[in-house]
Amino acid sequence: MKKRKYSFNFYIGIVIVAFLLGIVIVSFFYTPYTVTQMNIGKKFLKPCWEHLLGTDHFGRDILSRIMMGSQTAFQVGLISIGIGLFFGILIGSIAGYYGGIVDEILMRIMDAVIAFPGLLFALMFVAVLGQGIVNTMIALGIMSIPQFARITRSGFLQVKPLKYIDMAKSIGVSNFRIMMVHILPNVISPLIVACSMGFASAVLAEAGLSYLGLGVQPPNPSWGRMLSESQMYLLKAPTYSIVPGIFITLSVLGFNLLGDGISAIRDPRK
Amino acid sequence: MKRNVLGSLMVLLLVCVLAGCGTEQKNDTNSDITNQNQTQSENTNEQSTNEEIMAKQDKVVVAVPQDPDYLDPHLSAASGTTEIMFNVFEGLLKADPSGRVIPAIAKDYTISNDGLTYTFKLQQGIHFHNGKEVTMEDVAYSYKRLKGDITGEPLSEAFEEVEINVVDDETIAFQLTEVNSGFLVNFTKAVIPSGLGEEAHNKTPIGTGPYKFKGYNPSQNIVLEKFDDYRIEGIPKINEVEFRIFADSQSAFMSLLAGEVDMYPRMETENIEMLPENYYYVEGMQNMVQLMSMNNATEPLNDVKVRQAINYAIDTDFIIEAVANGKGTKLGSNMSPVMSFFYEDGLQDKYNINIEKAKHLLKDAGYEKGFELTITVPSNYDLHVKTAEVIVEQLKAVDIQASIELVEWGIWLDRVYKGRDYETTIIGLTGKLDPNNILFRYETNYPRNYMNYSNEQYDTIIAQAVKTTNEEERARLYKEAQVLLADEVPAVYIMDPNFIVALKSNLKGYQLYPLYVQDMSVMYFD
Amino acid sequence: MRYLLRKMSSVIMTLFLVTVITFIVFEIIPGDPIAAKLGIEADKVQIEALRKELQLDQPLIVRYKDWIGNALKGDLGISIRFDEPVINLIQIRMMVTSRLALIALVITIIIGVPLSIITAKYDNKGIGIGTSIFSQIGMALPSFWLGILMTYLFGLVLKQFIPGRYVPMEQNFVQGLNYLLYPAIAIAIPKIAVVVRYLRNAIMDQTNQDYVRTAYSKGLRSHQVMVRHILRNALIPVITIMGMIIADILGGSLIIEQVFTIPGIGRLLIMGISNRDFPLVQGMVIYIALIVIAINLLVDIMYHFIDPRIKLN
Repeated sequence: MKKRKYSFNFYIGIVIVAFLLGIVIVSFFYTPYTVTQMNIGKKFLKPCWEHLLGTDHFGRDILSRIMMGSQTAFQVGLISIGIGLFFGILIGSIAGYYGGIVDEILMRIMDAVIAFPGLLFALMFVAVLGQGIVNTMIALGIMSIPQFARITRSGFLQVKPLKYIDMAKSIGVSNFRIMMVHILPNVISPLIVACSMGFASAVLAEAGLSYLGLGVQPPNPSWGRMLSESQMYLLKAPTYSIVPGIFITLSVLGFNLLGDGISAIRDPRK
Repeated sequence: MKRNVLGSLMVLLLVCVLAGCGTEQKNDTNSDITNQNQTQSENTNEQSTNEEIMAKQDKVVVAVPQDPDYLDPHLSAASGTTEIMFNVFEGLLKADPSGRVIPAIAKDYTISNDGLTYTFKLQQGIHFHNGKEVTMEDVAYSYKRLKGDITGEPLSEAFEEVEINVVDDETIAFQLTEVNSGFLVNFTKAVIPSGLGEEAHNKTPIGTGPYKFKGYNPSQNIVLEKFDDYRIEGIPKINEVEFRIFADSQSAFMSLLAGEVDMYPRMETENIEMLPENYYYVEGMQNMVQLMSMNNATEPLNDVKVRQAINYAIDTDFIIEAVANGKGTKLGSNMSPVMSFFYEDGLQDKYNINIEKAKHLLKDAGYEKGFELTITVPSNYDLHVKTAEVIVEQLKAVDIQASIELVEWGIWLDRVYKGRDYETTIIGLTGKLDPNNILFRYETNYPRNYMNYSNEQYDTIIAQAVKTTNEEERARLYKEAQVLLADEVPAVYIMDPNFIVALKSNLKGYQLYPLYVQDMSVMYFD
Repeated sequence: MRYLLRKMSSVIMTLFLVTVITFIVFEIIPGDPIAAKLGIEADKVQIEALRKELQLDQPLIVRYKDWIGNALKGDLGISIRFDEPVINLIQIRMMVTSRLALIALVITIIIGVPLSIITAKYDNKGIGIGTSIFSQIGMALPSFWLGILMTYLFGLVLKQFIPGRYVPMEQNFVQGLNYLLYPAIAIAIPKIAVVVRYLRNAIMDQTNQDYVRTAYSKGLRSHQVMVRHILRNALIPVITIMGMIIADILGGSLIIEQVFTIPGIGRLLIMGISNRDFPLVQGMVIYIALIVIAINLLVDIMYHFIDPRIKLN
């Protein structure tokens, strides 16, 4: 019974993510209009056949900008998760494998990072090192490290006492090889779940930072930046504010459901 | 997709239900406020009597964008502060709406024939806000404080080399070391009372202007109150002025829509058509030069052909239309037509868009294939950010790949303005009363020549103009300087964006200045 | 006791590191607080005078020593941009943000908890799926977007509040509350979804436990069982979430304050950073760090309180 409910989540998640991925792929080859093409005679058009989602304050096509914005969102999601995953696994496996004082120090640092509100950290990081997409990705990446580190570490702690690890050691397999080949595969599925969830929060955080004007730089389209630009014309063109928000929600929803679904398949009892 | 829309709708519905319970009290007060009578929205009760309406109309709320830097007029440098405190302080002289300086605390003044000695006669019977009469001691104290004689720390470059002599109780003389035809405007710097201690001026500023300072709440407001003893009879007319600080333009405009703001200077052009019926607006040139400055010391912008090509490629008419809804005056040099006496007309059409010519010039300069260009823009200025977006798009036509780098204001000032570490930047240079103070920023050795422009001929013209006391001759020289700037284009001169001030229909008398000030003293409720 | 000592020492260490890092970072990064304050028109000599007054001409270590000495005495210095004691600025702004957070938290609890109980009680397929869908969508909604939509709907169309016009509660309680209500709802909606999702599952897990059946068989009424047994046990995971939510609300208020132009701590921080007003930023970083630490500590203690079996460690 419950199992069916969760796979339901999984399917919806897959459909949404596939839909968004489709948009990303299509946007590489085709957008209805050039994203930066301005037409001051066509400012703030309401949705119509020529412009399915209307136009913005420069007469640019909103649908095209939404499509290009999906590239930005996926780019930020992928790269920041990549950073988080790489360093998270590194730190987590070192902490979990060696234990003792190393473990203690690394995990306390992770605790400290986690304790600081994520967005606040990203905001200060970006404000201090300069606004832009690269620093945004680095900041969001750093933010997601502790999560991956914790998952990896707990997986290591579970597997390490098992016999086959001792056996591998006794026949002289290197520490690095044991970590990567013998232990890591055991934590892959929770890591995938965390990736999916992390992706969702990265998209959300990027939108937030870009909304504050610290993330993606104009004229590159970003959903968050579109929201902040649209807010100025709220009275005149409310649809302009609604569309980017729907897409942010959709991406977050899709990846959350996907993560949920995967974890349900992995552990049906939950 | 569909599910999501449905979900959002449900959420909104839920929100409606939630909101309903918390705000009932407000509901009934707001619902009977009609559009044409929003004046009393702040204190709308059923019993709002005529007296209350009168009381409301004796106070005007003005929307301003930022906190003051210093209340002490001698420490303050930000134009956003001057805008407000123009009503509080006066110098020996003061600017009038045409941009000329006229006597304020001084009765009159004379300039010696050699142009080196400025002698002022003090007007008797002028009072400070604290009731004390303005004496020669106060005048001398104020200008000596600027010079640095009081604290040992000079506060104004202009007075550093000036000798200040009190001749008698009514006369003060300023001795310059060299002729400077633009020096007069420095006497608009505030006269403040002596003997209050150095810190006091920043806490409770006291001046002689039409309004006295009442209070300042950081990030909220500055309140000024009518000064009854003002030197001009019948001025000011309105009892209280609140400069309310709005961090962004949309919240200022929304407050205006709600009837809470009576006057909104520098309103976004986008909002004009949404102005409620009980508001009107006044517009005019504001003596600002919006320009895309180029760093004339970097490749390839050091080549005049490249700079001219960029000028040909950028369609300023389109920019004015796109970012200011057509409400701006096209410029061709670093001078707004509002400075009519010194303005050289015709330059604004010199670089009308011509892609062919631009490509040709780029080819001559060896950049046939274009190049990459960074436009550094302070992120807090929406107008400049949008302008940058348009320019990026326009430069594509000549294969110049421009990208925008948004920086915070503090970084812009440090890195671009002070450090000159940039390629191009978009900014608005606020106008000055004297053309010298506008045009000398292109002088080779001027410390804030952030465009790194250098031209001997230009330097000579400016140096000559400063020493010229004949006004006609000065104007001729400054016009020559503008022509030179238009030829060599150290920048792309875009526009003087119109100054648009929205006013409540019963608020009258607004005076436009070619300066960044709001003169509240002449305004009245009708 | 040992727990507290250990915790305290790590707190002090963290705070010390945070101050050192902020000091160094502000020394390295571009941007000049004086330039930011005075603007383009500043006079050369004016800038010099101000630099001396603020002791920016002193070496870094001297300034840090002065600062930390004063900070230990409770004096966080004077803001460069506002010319006001930092502590005053923070206190005024914190009042606003903490009220906002409190209202958001209250809304989250008074709607989230009953909603979870109701949806858990009717454990059938339809409600299960419905709840799951709604909580998933709710969690995915960006609060700042909700804020924009609410500004439009309640501010511009229905005219329930004036966007951008913050009224302090001290001045007018009803209006002040009304103003904070909308941003609080925007913050609360995604959080309600989180609470429902976790609490409902927790309640349903507990309902199937043996002790609950025992309680029923003892003849206790169902709401007694719910309050005394199920909720109490189900609250443990929820408290973890609450701790996260409070920290989140603080972080989230950064953006929500921007949407509704509320003069809270988030806007002050953004303003402080962009003006390179380091006494202000420094003070706020410490303040925020302290709050976050305090919340974490509180969560730990609450665990212990609800379930004494959980050791503080």
